[in-house]
Parts: sequence; structure tokens; C-alpha cells
Amino acid sequence: MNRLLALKPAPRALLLLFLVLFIAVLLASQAGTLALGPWQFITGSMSSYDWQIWTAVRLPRLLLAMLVGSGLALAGAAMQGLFRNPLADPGLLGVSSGASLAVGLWIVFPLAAFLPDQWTWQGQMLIACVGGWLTCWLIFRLGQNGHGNMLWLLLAGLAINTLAGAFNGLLSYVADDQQLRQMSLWGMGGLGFVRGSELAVGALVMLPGLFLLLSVRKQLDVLQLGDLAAVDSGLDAKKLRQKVVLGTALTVGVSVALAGIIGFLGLMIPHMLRMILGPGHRLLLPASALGGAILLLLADALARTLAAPAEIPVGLLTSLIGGPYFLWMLARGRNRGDV
Amino acid sequence: MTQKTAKQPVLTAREISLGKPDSWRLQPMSLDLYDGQILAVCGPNGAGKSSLLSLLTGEIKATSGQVMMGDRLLSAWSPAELARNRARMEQSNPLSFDFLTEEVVALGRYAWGDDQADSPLVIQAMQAAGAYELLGRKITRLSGGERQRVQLARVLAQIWAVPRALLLLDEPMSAQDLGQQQQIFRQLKTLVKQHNWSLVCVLHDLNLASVFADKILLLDKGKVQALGKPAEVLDLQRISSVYKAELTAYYHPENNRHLVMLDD
Repeated sequence: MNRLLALKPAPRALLLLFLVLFIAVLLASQAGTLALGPWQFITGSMSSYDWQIWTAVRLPRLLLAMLVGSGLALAGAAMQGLFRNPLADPGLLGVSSGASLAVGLWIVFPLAAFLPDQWTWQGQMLIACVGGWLTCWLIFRLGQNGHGNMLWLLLAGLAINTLAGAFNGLLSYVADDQQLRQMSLWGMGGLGFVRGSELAVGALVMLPGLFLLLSVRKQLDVLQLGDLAAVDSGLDAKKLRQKVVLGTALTVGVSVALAGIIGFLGLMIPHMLRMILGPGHRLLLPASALGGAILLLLADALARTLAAPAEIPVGLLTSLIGGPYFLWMLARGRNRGDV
Repeated sequence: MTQKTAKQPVLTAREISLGKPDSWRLQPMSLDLYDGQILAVCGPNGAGKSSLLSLLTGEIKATSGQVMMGDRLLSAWSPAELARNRARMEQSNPLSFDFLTEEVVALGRYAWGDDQADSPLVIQAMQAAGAYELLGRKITRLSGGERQRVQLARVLAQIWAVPRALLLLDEPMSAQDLGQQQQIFRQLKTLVKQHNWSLVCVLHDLNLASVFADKILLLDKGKVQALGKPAEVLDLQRISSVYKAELTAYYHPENNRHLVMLDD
């Protein structure tokens, strides 16, 4: 314990978050219709049937929650750094809905017909990343005139979300029955529909995105000085921008493809952690990744238990927590005059 | 200031201009800046002072002419090299997150890779910029003048102890009180002499320029009206016509400086 206290604040915070993550994994692996505890797992008192459920259902789900949670929170923190604005969030700015529109297009238009059946979902994942990337790039391009100010960003996000929503509506209008079923099943979101193989491919695509975002944590601090001063300080701002946009597209695209739209994680987690740990991205980015994993694990555990044996879509739950938090942020920011 | 003709200038501008002959933003001008020199750029609002600074840093490309740092064209320097030999302070520098002052100053060390907020160098730079008492404060909670001093400390940290470095400051004193102005300028002067820095400083206050600068460049409507020692440039008639103001000039007998004052 003394060793722990003697650590510098940054490693101490990360170590603490790792501990909390570990506890969250234990808790979340307990929760569910079937009570499958790590205790049985540890003591070896698990039946082979239970073991099958654990490896085929529960474990992928825990891993997916951690992957998606850390991806969304990290992308949120990085975007906030890039736009120098605490309200930038993949959901609010429309990156998620851009990715989801791309998936809708993929399902309805016979683009996937060129691919063999077993490749369709890999294509879906790829197309979600492309959609996320295009939206990200579009916001950034347009945002250069608005200098990333908060009102402009939120309005642009509103416009993109509205547009993507309208197009998704149109798509479901022209879709045939089978496509409609496919779309609505996917659109509900949630962490329960993923097979191990999908998860593996998703992780393979998302992990480079996570590392890319984590690799620019120092540079994001310098960017806070403003573009001109950052370049004067020796920063390659253009390269940084490309890295953040690509990293965000990969993480958000895979998240959307695997779990649908899960809102507010990217807004809430970095904001909370910034209040505790300060705004420096060197600590904020890795902490956000851990915090996002923790929150989504717990939210998913809650979603599985609140109405058991039924399940609440976890995206609904994060919005129920995140919406009020967002309003509180706005009110608090207005009082302090800084948001 | 003795002319060191044998020496290589730190900064050379050869016939640089911006805009077209019928609508100049800056008319062609040439400039040599030697180490240990302080050049004040003065002129009315919209005279082209900040544009000149942007040309000298290479931020904007000149319509014609060349800018050289040392013996190389600006374009031949890599961004990292430039950052280690040259620093610029902008007029405004908004930070939207609650960074601590020393963290902001440490960002100036990015090009060097030793950007720890608790390094002695950061503290020294803060002392030199009159920002030491702001240590541990959040930048978003500071007044305009206090933020300005933190930013000054950041650019000082960027070229700290680098010999023959170039420092460009755009209105660094605009939000400082008299005492701070004097203290900061004395510190800057010491640093400039100590490390053979060259300092280009956009200043609104002619008297401040007169007291601290070795040379003054007087700009008006994108044209160089005068370039020389303060006593030569601050000619009453010239200043009155450039600023369209009624003025009286005073001569300070002890330090051989000219001062101007508004008539009532």
C-alpha cells in the first residue's frame, strides 16, 4: 500500500482504474439470467454445460463490452482534444450515425451480393468504419470555418444526426421484409448478438485504432495551444488530425458495427475523469479507455439484471444516464461561463 | 549599436512583399536582424505589423522576396529544427481546458522532448516572464495579463538557453501594468544579451519601444516609414503624421531617449 501511495499521481490513477475494472469484470460475469460466477470458475465447480455458456456467451459479451466501452470513451476524449471542446462526442457529432447509415446502405443495397455469404458481416464492419471516417472528415472540414466552437459543432452534429436519421428512415421504407428485419435487429444495438469470430475480427480492426489514439496523447496537449502556436512549437498538426480522425473512425466504426449506437459514453467518461485527473491527455486518454470499459461493463450487467429474464438494450440505458448528465454539464458550464 | 557587418545576421528579409502593386498589404522591404538586437515593430492599427511577423515566421508565404534564418532559407528548416531555434508568441491564445500554468509552460518544451511540468527550466522561464507567482493556478481562471505572462514563459521555455535563438513577440505587453512592463522587459533584455538572442517585438507603445529597443521599424499602410535607432525614428513630425495625432516630443537627458506624449 505504501508503494502504491508513493507512485506518481498518473500511474496511481491508472492502477486504481485497473483495479476497478477487475472488480467490474467479476461483477459483470456474475450478472445475467443464469448465475455464473467466477467463484464456480475458480473452484472448478462448473458443469460442462455452464462452462459452454460461459465461454460461448458470457465471455465474448464481457470482452465486447470492454472493447466497445474503451473505444467509444477514448474516441470521445481524443475528439474533444482535437476540437478543443469538451462537448465533442462521436454520438453528438454524428460519427456514430454516419457509421450506422453506412451499414443501413450496406444492408439495403445489394453491395454485399458480390461477397460470399460468410463475408457479409466483415463487409458490414468495414463499411461502418468508412462511414465513420467520412463523417469525421466532413465535420472536420466544415469545422475549420467555425473554428470548432461549441455551438457550431453541436449544430453540425444535429444536422448530421437528423440527416442520417432521415436516410435510415428512407432505407427502412424501401427495404424488403428480410432486410427490414436485419436492420431493426442490428439497429437495436446491444452487446448480446455477437459471435466469437465477429468479436475477434472487430478487435483486430479496433485495436490499431485504440493504439493510434493513445499514441497521440502528448501531441493533443500541444494542440490545445491553438493550431498556430502548436505548429510553432514543432507539432505536425496535420498529421495529428489525420491520426485522430482515422483512429476515431476505426474505433467508432467497429463499435457501431458490433453493438449499434451506444450514446454518451464518449462524452461522460472523459468529462468525469477530467474533473478528477485534470485535462492533460497523457493521463486522460488511457484513463478514459479504462473508464469506458468499466462503465459499459456495469451498464450491460445492469441491463441484463434489471428486467431479467428480459434485457434492456444497453444503448437505451447509457442514454438514460448520459442525457441528464449532458444537461447538467450544460447548466454547470453556463453558470461557470466556460462551456 | 555598432554594425557587425562581418557577422551573419540571424534573420534576413530580402525584398519581401505581400499583395499586389496597386493593393499592397506590405510593400517590398528588406531587413537584417543581428544577434543581441531588439527590434520593435511599431505603427498604427492595420499598418501590417502582424502580417510582417507572419512573413518573417514563414506562416504566410511572401508574394515576392525571401526570408532567411541564419544562412538558410526558412523553407530549408524542418519544423522541429525551427521550433528549437525560434519561438513566437501570438496576440491571443485561448485555452479551453483547465491546464495548470506550469503545464502550459512545459508544452513549450515539446520540440525538445523534456516537457515535464516540474522541471527547473520551466520554473526559471516562469520567473523570467513574471509568472512565478502563478505557479499551480489554473490557466482558465487567470486574468488576461496573467495569461499573457504564462504564454510568454512558454515561449521563453521553448528556446531556453539556446544561443542565437530568435524570439518574436506580438504585443506581449498589451495587458501588463507599468511595473510588469518594466520588469519583464529588463528580464528580456538580460536574456537577449546573455544568449545572443534576437528579439522582434510588435509594440503599440512608442515610449516603451524607445526605452527598450535597439531599433524601431515604423510601419504605416504596409510601407516602411522609418527603420533605425529610436532617436532617429521617433521624429515628431513623422510620428504625428503617421498616427494622425497632435503630439509633443520630450528628450530624456539622462538616457538619451526620445519620448512622445499626446497633446490635450
